Amino acid sequence: MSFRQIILFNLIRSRRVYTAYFLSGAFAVMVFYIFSMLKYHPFLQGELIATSETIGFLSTVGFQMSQFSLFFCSFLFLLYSFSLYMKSRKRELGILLLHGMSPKQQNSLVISETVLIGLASIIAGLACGIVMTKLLLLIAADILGITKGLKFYFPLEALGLTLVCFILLYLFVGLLTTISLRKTTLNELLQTSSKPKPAPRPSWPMSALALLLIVMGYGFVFYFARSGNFLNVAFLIVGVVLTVAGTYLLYTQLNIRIIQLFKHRKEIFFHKTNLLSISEMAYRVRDNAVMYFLITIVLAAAFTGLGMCIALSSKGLPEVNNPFAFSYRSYKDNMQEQKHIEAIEAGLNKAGLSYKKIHILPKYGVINTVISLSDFNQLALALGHPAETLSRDDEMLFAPSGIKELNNGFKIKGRVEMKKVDGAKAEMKVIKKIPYIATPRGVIGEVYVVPDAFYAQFAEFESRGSITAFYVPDWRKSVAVARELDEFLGSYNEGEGSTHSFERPLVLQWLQDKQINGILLIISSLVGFVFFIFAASVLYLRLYTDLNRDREQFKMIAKIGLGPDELKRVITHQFCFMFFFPFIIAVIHSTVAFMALQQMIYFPFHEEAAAIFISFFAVQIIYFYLARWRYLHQLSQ
Amino acid sequence: MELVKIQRLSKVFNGTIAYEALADIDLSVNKGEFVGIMGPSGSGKTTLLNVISTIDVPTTGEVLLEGRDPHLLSKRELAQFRRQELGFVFQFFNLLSTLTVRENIALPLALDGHNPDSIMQKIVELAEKLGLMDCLNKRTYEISGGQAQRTAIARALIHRPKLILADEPTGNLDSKAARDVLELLSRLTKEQEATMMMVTHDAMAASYCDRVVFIRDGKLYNEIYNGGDREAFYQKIVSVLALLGGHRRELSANHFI
Repeated sequence: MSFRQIILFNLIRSRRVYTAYFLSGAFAVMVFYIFSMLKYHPFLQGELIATSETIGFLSTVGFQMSQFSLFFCSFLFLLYSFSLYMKSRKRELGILLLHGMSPKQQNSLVISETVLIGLASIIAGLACGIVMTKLLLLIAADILGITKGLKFYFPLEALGLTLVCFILLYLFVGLLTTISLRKTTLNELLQTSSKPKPAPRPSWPMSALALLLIVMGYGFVFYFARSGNFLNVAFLIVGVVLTVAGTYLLYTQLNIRIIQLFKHRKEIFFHKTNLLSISEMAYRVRDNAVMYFLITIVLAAAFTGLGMCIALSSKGLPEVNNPFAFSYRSYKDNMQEQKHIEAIEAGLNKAGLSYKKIHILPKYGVINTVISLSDFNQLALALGHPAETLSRDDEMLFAPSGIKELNNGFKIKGRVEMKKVDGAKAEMKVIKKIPYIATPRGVIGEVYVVPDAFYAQFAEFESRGSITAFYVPDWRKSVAVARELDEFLGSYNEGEGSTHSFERPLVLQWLQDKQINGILLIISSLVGFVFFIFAASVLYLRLYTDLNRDREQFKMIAKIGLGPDELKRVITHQFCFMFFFPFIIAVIHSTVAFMALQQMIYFPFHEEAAAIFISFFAVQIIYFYLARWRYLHQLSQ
Repeated sequence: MELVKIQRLSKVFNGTIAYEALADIDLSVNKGEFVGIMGPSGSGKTTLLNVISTIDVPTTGEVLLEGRDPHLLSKRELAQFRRQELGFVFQFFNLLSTLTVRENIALPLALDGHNPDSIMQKIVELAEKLGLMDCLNKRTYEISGGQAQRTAIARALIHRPKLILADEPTGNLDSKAARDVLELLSRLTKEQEATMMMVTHDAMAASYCDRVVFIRDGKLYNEIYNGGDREAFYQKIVSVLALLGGHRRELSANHFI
């Protein structure tokens, strides 16, 4: 029996207390490892760089950034949860000190505990990570559209990095905890009940300020979104800061004020178990204001990040933008047009892909672009849409050329004035908006489909040549031919005197977007998931810290006649508040963020947002019932 | 020979209202003596014990143990001092729930870095005297209150401290267990030639002491000596208590915590 053994037994036998601490540590380690594993994967790096250098860069930077932020958050989280763990063991430390534990022994106790739990969680996290490596690589290959698949590899670098980073992290957490313990006196440690923190005195002006700040924050975010100018990013930052500050005041001022209000309403406060629920809630809200605040912010960040990434990745695919696999623009005096078109056709034939070739000649005005009805119908028919008709000479159709136009991001004018070759002006009436994108890439802006007769008379501001578009139903299989053609034709694109341009092939654009989105998705879901776990385990730890106090309290109240059903009701009230109030605030915050985002990207994504909220809510409900069940079980012991 | 010497000791708690828990206490305890401290609730008994046991610090005055003031020691020296010179017994046992009875008893020696074999040997010797042999490997929630308090006594005695401080050691026990505990405490401290100070509400418990000191409102009120006859001493204590508080019942009632 030595001091070391005491430390060890202590740890082994109080498993339950630090389970949450251990698990969330293990989780953080696992996700950190996954990031490093993906970052160091040789294939992933290879193919990503081959697709595009920006993606290689984005993935490296993205993984690095999220790894860093994950690491930083893990540090804060572990520090907080370890201090809670220590708080729940105050009495134990007091007894040890009383029996002559020296400061040096105390330090070694704390540090070896953190490092031992840390090591256990590192090992568990790495083990889970390694077991899941293969599965994750499969998923990542699918998400990133890597056809060859990602080979399983044993990532020594990733292992080493994770190991070193987290051992240092746990050591540092242990050190900081010993420093914070140094200040507490023995008498404080031995006191049976922990004193609640003195309440911040809530005042009406401050409570009102909480709401005002949040509303102002929302306002700034909306202003930023409405302006549509990314240079106004300062507005976004101010908005976020105001919202965060408002949320802090909400928990430290407004909530407490509202509960006080309930306390003053005699008919509510003295109604049955309300007396208990409300006064307990007052204690919890006061003591845990900072925790609620942190949970809210972390959840809001997780929701918003995840929502944005999912929304962007599902709707942002370029198919919608550009239905044609290849489009080739030929300027005046292009001697090679025939040769180039033949090269494209030969490539497609060689790959065994069926295609439809459409040749159109748009005309460009100062701000408007027009396409003749017959050209347009060629495009529409190739895409499998019905042909359009125009019955009068002064009628025309609005053809969306991008997502923004398609989703009403652009206000369609009823009448447009257009110049004719003879200098006369004609007023044209827009009778319909085409409900899909039919124009190939390169035709952008306000595009109108006009009768052939008017098309002939339209005064062109400048000529930008004809476009030959290829519609390939199986365009997803055209990677190889797309790469070849892109290399062959794409290199002439820029510069003076170029005779033609070749748009980036759809499949390559798609692959690039898919990969960007895939990377965003992987990063955001992993980080979001970890944040969610952190938030949940902070709650668990908090509950555990208060368990002894609650047990005493309820034992006492049971003596004066609180039945098990009533106890359950009191606990349910409190838990509902603890589990769902920060959740709801976070949902409100991120809904506002989504609404603002909607202003900027023109895709509706209610469904994605709802799916995120509902799935997180489901998890939260399961967690709520589990925690309540365990807690009631513990209380009755 | 004096083991504990308390001189002009005062303790003021600073809160929203300053409260003087101890005022100008002078007290000496001889080596090997078993001293009881009694007084009504809130009279400062536990505060006095806490100051002597270095859990709390005095506001003015000094506490000398064998001529040394432990409050002047550094944290490291104080830890050393506690684990070698002091033993503690509390009303709520204060055992570590993560450790077994054996490990709890071993605590002071383990902290002091003793050889595990000699620790085990000492535990067995003491456990036999205290009747704890059967529950050495049990966890603290598996044993009765009497066993828990005997475990605490074993822990307080294992390192042969010079001074044992007991705060209501029988407060949480039934009368049979309380009697056992007191008999063991007084017999073993005599055997080890240790000095003991015990705070208690219970006249029966106090009747095991050599001397009982009464405190009221933070000041010494009276002291009486045991003439050898426990029955007579008990009667004397009860009559002093009656004088002290006026209400006998108030003094024998336990705290409700």
